[in-house]
This record gives sequence, structure tokens and C-alpha cells, in this order.
Amino acid sequence: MMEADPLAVEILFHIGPVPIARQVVTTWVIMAVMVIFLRVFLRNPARDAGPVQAALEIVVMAIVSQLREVLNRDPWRYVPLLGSLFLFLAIANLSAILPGVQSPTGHIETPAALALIVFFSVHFYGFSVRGVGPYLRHYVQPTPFLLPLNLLSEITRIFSLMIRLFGNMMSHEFIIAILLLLAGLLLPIPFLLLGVLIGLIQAYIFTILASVYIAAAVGAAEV
Amino acid sequence: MHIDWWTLAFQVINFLVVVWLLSRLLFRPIRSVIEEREEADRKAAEAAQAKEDAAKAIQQEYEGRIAAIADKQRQEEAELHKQMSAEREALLKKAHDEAEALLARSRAEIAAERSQTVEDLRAEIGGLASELAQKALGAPDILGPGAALAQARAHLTGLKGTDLRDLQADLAVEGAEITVVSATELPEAEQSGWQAALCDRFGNGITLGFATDPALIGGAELRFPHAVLRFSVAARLAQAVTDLKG
Repeated sequence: MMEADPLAVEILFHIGPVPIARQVVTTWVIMAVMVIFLRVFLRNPARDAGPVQAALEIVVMAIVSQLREVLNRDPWRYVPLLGSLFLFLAIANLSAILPGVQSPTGHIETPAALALIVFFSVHFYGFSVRGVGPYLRHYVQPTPFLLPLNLLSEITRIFSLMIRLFGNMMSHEFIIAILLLLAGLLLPIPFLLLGVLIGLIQAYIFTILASVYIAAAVGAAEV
Repeated sequence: MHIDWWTLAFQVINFLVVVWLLSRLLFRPIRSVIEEREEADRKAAEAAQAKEDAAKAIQQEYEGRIAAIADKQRQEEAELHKQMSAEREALLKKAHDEAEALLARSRAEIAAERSQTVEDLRAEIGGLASELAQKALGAPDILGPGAALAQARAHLTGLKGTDLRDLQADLAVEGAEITVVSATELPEAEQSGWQAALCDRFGNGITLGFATDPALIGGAELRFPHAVLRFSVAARLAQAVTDLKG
């Protein structure tokens, strides 16, 4: 159901003084489903993979291959963050097609949380790979006059990352809701299919942009 | 735009948990499986490489042995060829020497035989010549004065039967004559003797002539129109040669 204020957080319950929003619960459910799925189908991964393990290997290796191309280095160090980012976003975005489920990414808090994590991760990897001095020095290159612009771009690109994901997913949910109100049950089905495509594309774009930012931060020093 | 900070904080924590969970439950196990598989592939490739190297080593050893055997065979063939050449040369030299010796011996034998033959021929020719001389010259019955006439008279006297009738028929032809041929011209007395002897045997009506032929050497021949009675040395020699030829 569409909310009256699309940007408002729907609080489902409180744990003490802490309000628990619907998207948090949805995220927990997604996490639980992921854990259960992986515990069931990937409890004892074998060299002779079964169908589910083979499919998971294909997905993981596709992510690794894509990250290797973007990062131009051994990607396994960055796979936990960026791979989790892609898989979580893909599952979260696609969860919107389930009846009664609102995608966590359709509210600003989840994209903001992910953007914040990407923001700090970029600097973490920059510091850890290049060192504090060399990493900070890249803000004044090619000339110190660009320092404000570089700092501004650090903020704006993370902000754009967040807004892009939030805008796309929220607008898609709005379109579906409006179509449901105006045209009934069957007409939104093509838009739901389009939503699958949009969800995957947004997950891919968010992950690739995060990879590009991390690649720019770590530079070409690491082999 | 209103942001619920509690939700934001929860989502940050949730995503970090998701990172930890997926790293532990998905990425790490799959990476270990893939690395394990790659390690197994690497070991299999190394094992295959080791086997290939071993196979190559065995092949090289085999080829080396083949080459060594081929070299040894070539050396043995060359040695055998050399040995056979030497043996052939030795055999040829031996055969050549033997042939030379045989030729020399044959030549010596031929020379000896020729000498012996010449000696024998000489002796035989001498014997023959002596015999011929004895037969031709050692016959006083036709060489002495009137010897041929006496022998002819005896021969004519002994003629009988068909031989005599043939001669008589030969002389009965018109114009037939008997010619007495001698190596040298006969004296008058001897010619009269011949006429008397012939008339005694064939009658007085015969026509008698005399002629000379040095080829007769000695003695005389009686030439009828179709027959000749020879009492000459040449005839005696011819008879002797015929007798010698056997």
C-alpha cells in the first residue's frame, strides 16, 4: 500500500526506545532468507559442485570477474564489500515485486546507509593501500587549487549514488502504486517486469560506481 | 526530506552484518572451493607435466638408444664392409697370384710341352723323313738303270683278268697310244726295252711314245688313254705320305 508521505518511515514496533521501521524488518527478513539459503545449499561446498553451488559459483565468479576488470587488480580483497553490496541491492530491489513487500531501497535511509558505508570504505581502502600521506596528497593533485573541488566531489558523488538508487526505486514504487490505483491488477505486470530490470540495473550501477570510487582511491599502486 | 537516523543506523549495521555473513557463508567458502579446485587443477597439470616430462625423457632415452644402435650398426656395417673389402682384396690378390702362378706354370708347361713336341716332331719328322727317304730313295727297284722297266715288265706280266682287258680295250681305240714318261730322257737302249716289253704284253700293233716329266723325280709312268701305271719316285712318295696319314 502506498504511504501518505512516501518519504516517511513506517515504524512497525519499538524495542525499548528504539523504533523499528518496516525497511529494517524487511532487511532482517532478507538477511534471514540469505542465511537460511546459504546454510541449506552451501553448508559443505564441495569441489564437485551441485546445481545450486554451481549457480552460486557462477554468480560469485561473475562478480569477481567484473570487479577485476574495474579494479584492475586482485579483486578478492574487495569482494566481501562490493559483492555483498550487489547481492543485497539486487535482492532488496527485487523484493518489491513480492506482494506486500516494500523494497528497503525505496526509502532514503537504506541508500544513505549504503552510500555512507561506500564513502568510508573508499577512504579505508585508500588509506590502507596507498598510505595516509599519499592518499591525502591526491586531493591536491594535479594542483592544490583543486582541493575544494575534490572534497566537494567526494561528497557529491556519494550523494548522487544515494539519490540515484533512492530515486529510481522510489519512483518505480510510485508508478506501480499509481497504476494499481488507476488501472487495476493486470496492467502493472509489465511494469513489475520492468522493475526487475531496473532493480538489477540499479544494483549493478551502484556496485560499479562504488568499485570505481574504490579503484580511484587505491590507485594503480597495488598489483 | 526527513531521515530517520535510527533506521539509518540500523541499516548501516544491517549491511555490515550482511557483509560479514556473505563473506563467511558465501564468498569465503566459494573462494576456498575455487582455490582448492585450482590447486587440484594445478597439481593435476603439474602431474601431467611431470608425466609428460617423464614421457619426453623416456622418448629421448629411447631415441638416444635408437641413435646409438643405428650408429653401432653403421659402424659394424662399415667395419664389416671394410673387412669384406680387405678379404675380397686378399682373395683377389690370392686368386691373382694363383692365376699368375698357374699361368706361369702353364706357360712353362706349355713351353716345355712345345719344346717336347717340337723335339718329338723333329724326331718324328726326322723319322718320317728317314722313312720317306727310305721308301722313296731306298727303293733300288725303280731308281737303278732299267729298274723301272724291270718293275713295269713284272707288273705287266702279273696283270690278269679285268685289269688286263681294260688296258687292252683302252688300246684298241683308234689312235690310242702308250706314253712312257720319265724324269729324264731315256737312252735309246732303254726305250727299246720299253717297246719290247709293251709289245710282248699288248702286241706289236701298239703305238708307243716317250716323254719326260722332272716331277717324277725318278722311275717312269705308263700313260694309257684312260689309265696310268706309275713306277716313279713321285708316285712312291705320294703313296708313302698316304700311308703315313693312315
